[in-house]
Amino acid sequence: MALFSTSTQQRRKWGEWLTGYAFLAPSFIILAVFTYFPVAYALGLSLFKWRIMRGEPTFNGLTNYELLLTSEDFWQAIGNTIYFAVGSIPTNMAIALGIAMLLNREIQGRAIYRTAYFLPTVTSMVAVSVVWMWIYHPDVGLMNYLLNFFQIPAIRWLNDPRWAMPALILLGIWKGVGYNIIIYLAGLQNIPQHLYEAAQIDGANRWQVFRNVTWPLLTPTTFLILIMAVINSFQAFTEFHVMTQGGPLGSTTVIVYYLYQQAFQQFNMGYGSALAIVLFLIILGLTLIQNKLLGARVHYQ
Amino acid sequence: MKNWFVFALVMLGVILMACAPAPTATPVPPTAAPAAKPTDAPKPTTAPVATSAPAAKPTDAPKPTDAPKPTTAPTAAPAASGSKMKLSFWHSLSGNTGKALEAMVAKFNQQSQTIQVEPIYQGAYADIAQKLTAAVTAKTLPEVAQMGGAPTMADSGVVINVADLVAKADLDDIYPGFWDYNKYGGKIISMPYNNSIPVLYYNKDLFTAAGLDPNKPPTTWDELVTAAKALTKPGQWGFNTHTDTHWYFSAMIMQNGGKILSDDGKKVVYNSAEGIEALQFWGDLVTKHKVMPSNQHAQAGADFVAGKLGMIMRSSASLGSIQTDAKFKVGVAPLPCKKTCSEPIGGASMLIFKTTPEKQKAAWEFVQWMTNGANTVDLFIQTGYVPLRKSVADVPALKDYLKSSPNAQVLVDALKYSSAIPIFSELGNSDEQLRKAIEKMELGSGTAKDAMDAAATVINKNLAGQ
Repeated sequence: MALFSTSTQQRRKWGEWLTGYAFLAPSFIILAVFTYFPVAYALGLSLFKWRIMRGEPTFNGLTNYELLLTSEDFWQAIGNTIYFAVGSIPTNMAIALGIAMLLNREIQGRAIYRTAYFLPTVTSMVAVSVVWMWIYHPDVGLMNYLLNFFQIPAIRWLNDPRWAMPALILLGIWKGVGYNIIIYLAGLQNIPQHLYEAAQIDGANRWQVFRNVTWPLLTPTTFLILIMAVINSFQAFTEFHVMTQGGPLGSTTVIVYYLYQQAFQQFNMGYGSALAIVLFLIILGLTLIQNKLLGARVHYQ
Repeated sequence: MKNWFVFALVMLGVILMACAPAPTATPVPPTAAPAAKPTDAPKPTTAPVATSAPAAKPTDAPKPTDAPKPTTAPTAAPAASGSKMKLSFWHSLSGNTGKALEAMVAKFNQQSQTIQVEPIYQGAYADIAQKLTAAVTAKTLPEVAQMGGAPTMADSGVVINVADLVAKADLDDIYPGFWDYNKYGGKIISMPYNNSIPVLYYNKDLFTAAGLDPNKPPTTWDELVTAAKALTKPGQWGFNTHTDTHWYFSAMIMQNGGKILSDDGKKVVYNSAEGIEALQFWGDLVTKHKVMPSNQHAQAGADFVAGKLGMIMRSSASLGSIQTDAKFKVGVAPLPCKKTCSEPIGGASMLIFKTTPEKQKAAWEFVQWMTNGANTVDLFIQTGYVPLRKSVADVPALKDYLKSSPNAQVLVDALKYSSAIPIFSELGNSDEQLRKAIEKMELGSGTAKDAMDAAATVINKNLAGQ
């Protein structure tokens, strides 16, 4: 009797175990094949010198990492990426919050506005980039036409190393703000109305309401948007590939574009893999730091 | 009430998670991103090949004229194919050019009693290079392949050198520039197939408006400057080049008597007086003569077609698309010369891989057929890739075509100046360094000597380390 029951229990345990893993399997297999395996492979590859079409990979330890950390181009790419992130994220978030708060009110044609702001987000980045190349065209572009209208001298936007990155930051904000507006709207709509009523009864002015009700209750949303935005800006590639190819003078060579140049134009697969690993570590590190510094201040009601 | 609240917050969490786009939900392996994204690009301006050979874009091919199209008549082929030797042929041509190539292969299969070739498109130059590399390791190579930067495959030791197969008559008939373009370490490795040359396109209407003779394009650097000056006015530039600036610049170095690579192939030598002078000339076009906009190469093609640019250096393979898009009379000329004339070719070649002696022989027969006089003319007429052979002047199809298309005649005439930028392991990187030097010069930062020295130093350090 005792024996029998143990084996039944065991069998049930096994059954549960199997059922559990069966549920996990579909997404786990896909992740394993298309994410974990390539990551592990890249990690291995980063320890090899492998130039495609120049024979077999040869093991060279941490040489790729050493080359990378002593390369001027790498540090320029890191600098450019930080410039892009710092230039676009805070502005993007501020604009998104402002517009979300406006769109959260009872205004005429609210749905139209919401759609309009979201449109750039769902448009193909390549199409957007090509159109913006024309907007930034130094001779016939819309941007310089506007500057001219206000009597400001023309700027050579994408063709000037000082202006290429600001031009791409501007495009990034225009493209990305719609997504953040939607997230902020969701956050705003989940703030219970009775808190606003209470604030009103207490005689709070608009700023006080924002400072003490809206902002604290939006911190989870802000935190999410910040983490996503940092990851996205470190992975930005398409607009740089289409619009500037990293130029002029490397002023828009962000880290993923540098990786692409090394791995898929120069065929330095080992070096490219080392770059990928370093990029992964940077993003992981930044996310952990944000979690540590800001996570405690997030107000989860 | 409170429960509702908790529930709402949980739902918010769920919504937020669901809203997060899949790629960002987990930190994607950065390697995956760039691999997938290049395909998003509308058209990579230069083929991202090891050699970054200024490849003619298949889409740019001139409009197919009513050339004799091979009819794919199913004659005895099905019955015979059972006993025929089968060869796989990987290629990297798509669109119009790809169709022309596959039609040509079909024609070959039809006329051959013993060989059946199966063409397989493997993606653009960069893709096929990666697939062939993978195939070397996996030992799944095809018998024949067409690719850009083909000679560098010699390093992997799986290629039959064309030098060991080719007859003296072919060596003499095909322009030497094409052979040089297929050498690696001094040996002919591959067979030229689809090639283009850089040419000067000019707007005849703007020439007339500026008081220039529309039938006399500039033939020297000095004349180029003079014409460009006459063509430049507010809202209109005199001269520019397409985005693959390193191609036109390499041509200028050679026109000025300079060299890219030392004779032993061990180092780049373009930081010579000739190379520095060529870069100075390039920079002067922007900063001194003010006839070329600084760093505006990505927009140059569109500017030219829009009639806002007088002259542009670009691949001969763009002739068709330019003539279709432009609303004005388009002129074509060989690149202007300095000490010599030089038209460094770009494009792709045929490779034969080590298999069995019978298959190698069959593969060579196929490659010879594809590059014979009639077929090289056929490819030219259908796609704009230049004919390889001197002897084609007598081919009737070519004569008829040239009569109807004088601009095509210019391309054929320019072939006598065809030359090659030598293919070496660091060529892709070297082209990148040259583009950087050009950018510096156009932005007026530093001297031509410093820029050329910087480029040569980087490359020579890499070459020494190999």
